[in-house]
Amino acid sequence: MVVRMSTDSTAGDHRFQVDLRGLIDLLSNHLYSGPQVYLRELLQNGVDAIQARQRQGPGSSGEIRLEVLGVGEKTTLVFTDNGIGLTLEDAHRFLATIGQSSKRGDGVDRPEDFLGRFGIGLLSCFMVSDEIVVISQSAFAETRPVEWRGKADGTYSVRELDRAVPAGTQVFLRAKPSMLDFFDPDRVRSLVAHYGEFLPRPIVVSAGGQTGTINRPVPWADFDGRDAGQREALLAYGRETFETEFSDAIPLSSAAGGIDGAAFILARPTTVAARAAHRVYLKGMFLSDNVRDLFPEWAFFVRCIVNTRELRPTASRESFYEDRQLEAARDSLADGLRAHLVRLGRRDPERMQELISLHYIPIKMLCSEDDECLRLFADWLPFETSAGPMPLKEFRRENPVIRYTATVDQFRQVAPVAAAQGMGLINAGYTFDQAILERLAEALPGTVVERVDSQDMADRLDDVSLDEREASFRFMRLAEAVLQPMGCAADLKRFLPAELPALYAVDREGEFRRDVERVQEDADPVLGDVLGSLIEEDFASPARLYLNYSNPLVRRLAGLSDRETQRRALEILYVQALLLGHHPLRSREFRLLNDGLLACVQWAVEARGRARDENP
Amino acid sequence: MAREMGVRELLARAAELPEGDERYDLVARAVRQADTHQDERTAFEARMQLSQAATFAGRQEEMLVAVTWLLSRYDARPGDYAGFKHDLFWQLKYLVDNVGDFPTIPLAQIRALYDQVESRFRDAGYSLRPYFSCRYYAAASLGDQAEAERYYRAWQNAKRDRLANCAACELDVKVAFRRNSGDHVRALDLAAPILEGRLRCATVPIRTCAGLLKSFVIAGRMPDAREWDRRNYRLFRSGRQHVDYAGDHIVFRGFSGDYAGALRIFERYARLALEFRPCWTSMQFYNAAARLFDLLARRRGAIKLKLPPRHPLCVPAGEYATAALYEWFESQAASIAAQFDARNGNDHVSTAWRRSAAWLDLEPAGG
Repeated sequence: MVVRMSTDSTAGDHRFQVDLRGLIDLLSNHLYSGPQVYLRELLQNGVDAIQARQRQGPGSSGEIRLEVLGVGEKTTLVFTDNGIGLTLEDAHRFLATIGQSSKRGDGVDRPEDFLGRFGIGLLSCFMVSDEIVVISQSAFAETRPVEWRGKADGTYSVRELDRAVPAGTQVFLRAKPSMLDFFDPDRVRSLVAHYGEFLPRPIVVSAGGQTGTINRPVPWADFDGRDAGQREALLAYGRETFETEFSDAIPLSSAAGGIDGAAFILARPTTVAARAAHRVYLKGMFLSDNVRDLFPEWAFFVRCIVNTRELRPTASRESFYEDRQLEAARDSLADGLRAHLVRLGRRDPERMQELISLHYIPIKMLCSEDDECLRLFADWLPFETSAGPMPLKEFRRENPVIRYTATVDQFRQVAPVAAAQGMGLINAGYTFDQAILERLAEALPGTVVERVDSQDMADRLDDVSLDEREASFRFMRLAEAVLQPMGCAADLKRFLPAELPALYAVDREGEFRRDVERVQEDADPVLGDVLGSLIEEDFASPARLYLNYSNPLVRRLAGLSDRETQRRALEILYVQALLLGHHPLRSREFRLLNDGLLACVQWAVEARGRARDENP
Repeated sequence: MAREMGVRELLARAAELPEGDERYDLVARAVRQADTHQDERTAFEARMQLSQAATFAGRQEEMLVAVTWLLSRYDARPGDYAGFKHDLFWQLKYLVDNVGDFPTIPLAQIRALYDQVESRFRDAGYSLRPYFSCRYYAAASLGDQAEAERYYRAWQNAKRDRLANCAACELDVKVAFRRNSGDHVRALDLAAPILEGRLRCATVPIRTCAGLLKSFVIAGRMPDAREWDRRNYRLFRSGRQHVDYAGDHIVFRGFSGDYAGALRIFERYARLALEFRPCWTSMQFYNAAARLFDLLARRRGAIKLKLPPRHPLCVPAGEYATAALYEWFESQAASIAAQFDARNGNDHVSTAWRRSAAWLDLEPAGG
């Protein structure tokens, strides 16, 4: 428990007392990702102080310096900035009042200029040190330098100093023995670089016998995508940062949120990730490399690095406050990516085709939501068709109407018939395909898109002649009687391929009913009843079996006089049609199959036996 | 792409997709594969995913089938599937939540199902908290105020365990309770964590905010209503799972005079809505469409509209008499409402909509 009530028993207002250690614990376990953030907080304060000084008057160039001195127990980090500095009063108010930020907006100061909350930020240093010493000289007030010493036990002392101190602030941290790792020169240098290499102030680190500036020019500054040399350099930076290969870099910018940066296109295909993780800097300081909610869902084939000048991060520093600005920023960034793709499509179709071959899934996702991209990219998108895989434009060349099946299973049933009829068919049973095709009809006027299931297919099959109908009449009546208990109607047609004796046609509702019946076979009675009630009794389109009069076997069968053989054969043809269509069998269908096969084996054996008897 | 993926690969691909039909289709393929080529345990795992995917893709009837299958295997061989107990019971929550949405299922069968699920929960040692919240909703939609209140209190008193619904869903129940009691101001207050983005889950805030649009209006907060209409609708996907919430936005936009916006939403979801068997969701959508066309009919005799090709009224010219549209959707909605009433043995569903649509006669004052 961090907060205790005052034990002063006098009436009147009391003050909450805060257990500093408890608070630091809370911060280090729940807010900060690790002790190393103390460096980030120091940098933050330094940058803010320099900015405050420069706002109030020119004549100073901001500089930040970190030094690691001493060894072992005496290891000390000294952080120096030449910012606005503190007066005695400031020291009392800001360094010792938790949560009091010197940067609360009060008319002159704009809140968004001052990141970091000075009161809390400095506390992070208690994760690595038991005593913080701050020596500071105000840059403008006519005051003496102040020395503030705060201890992790919650006590502090403040005094004015007699000696002169340059304007600015120095923070001295004596390393806690258990935290010496965080004062290791190489570690400090690399952490400071990680957080602050893009800050606009020079940062000098002097440790382990080496001194140097850790700053780097922002790799995406003034990047407009046109300069090939700059793009190469940026790609190299991207590879180094994300440790993965990229094929291209796109400039990103958004007025909302004051954002600029770059998007890197992955060189290898990815499947949908639960939103890709991107790297974000806030006013030049590293914020997080796990920001997910800044970019649209379909942008999972890119990794982005951006700097934002205005968005407000949440306390976790891994996402942003959901406000209008964030929404607007998201939209701008999405527009930027989309615009790049659109430009690429117009200017360099070959590269666009490469991109699409690699990343067709995210692009399909994009097209399923965005009409402009759909209109532009649809023709390049690969689909599986009855004539093999091909881009849509090829399919459209041969087929004025875009016909598709909604599931892979329907495609399997229908494709052979479609192919035999010279009719192109798309298998839209894959992710986003159906959504895209349906939208295409609306987005591109004049495009005809037709969803086809096996029932629709059947409507295109040819009728038999009147004579053929007469000749097979009794056979068809038998077929109806045989199939009726299966919930299936029978029809006689002529179609290609002639090798296919029968086609089983069922729509989605029919498939659902089959599933229900199968499941009811073993179901708990209560649930079985519920499922039964779910299926409407009066069902508009039951399944149908289309017997193919073009098939020689069917014709022979129709002409037989032996009803028993016809019946068995019909049962088997029915089950065969189910199997070809990949429909899981219901128990009675398994029985049909079982009995039918055995009967066939028996007939074959008997026929062989008779043949041998007649021809010894 | 032509090569068929195995069960594991299909499930892995599905897990990476957002909830919706794409995900559902992949899992359904996995189930088919598992049924044909694999052992029962793999089929069990795949069907568990199917139940979940179906629920969030707006395919509750498929969820019913999947859960029935799962229970039959689980009951027959509890030892084999002991590790799935938690996941299975999670699906039972969906079962209780949704079974009442189909008017062809008689009340007696639904109650028998409720009783069975209740016993299962008790026998398994789970708290009945989520079960009670489902029963609250069911009683409320049946119009049984007394039972609704009883279950609401039972829900609040039951303890939370691993099977409890998430904080966002639970708050949504509270908000809905207040809203349904006509206490819109309190409902909005309660909903603050959701509105501020502090509580979210798969269905929240979409579900909550869609329902609160009307509350904002009644509470005299029209600008907020507009803002939330805009913000909430941005989260919608073009899937069955958002059809009924789309209805709330359609009605609101009609009410606030944004007819173009209302029609846009209608066109986006009409095709999907038509594919539903008669149920609560499709009734909600048809009701919403009827309200919209009713409002439009007072202003225009005819409008241009993209009706789905399979709609009975659809014509190539794409222009329709608003009165005709209103009549079609109104009669569809009324017919489903009548089925519910016949099933429930009262007239609550038909009259409730009429009563709850009274706010549409208010003036959209305050901007």
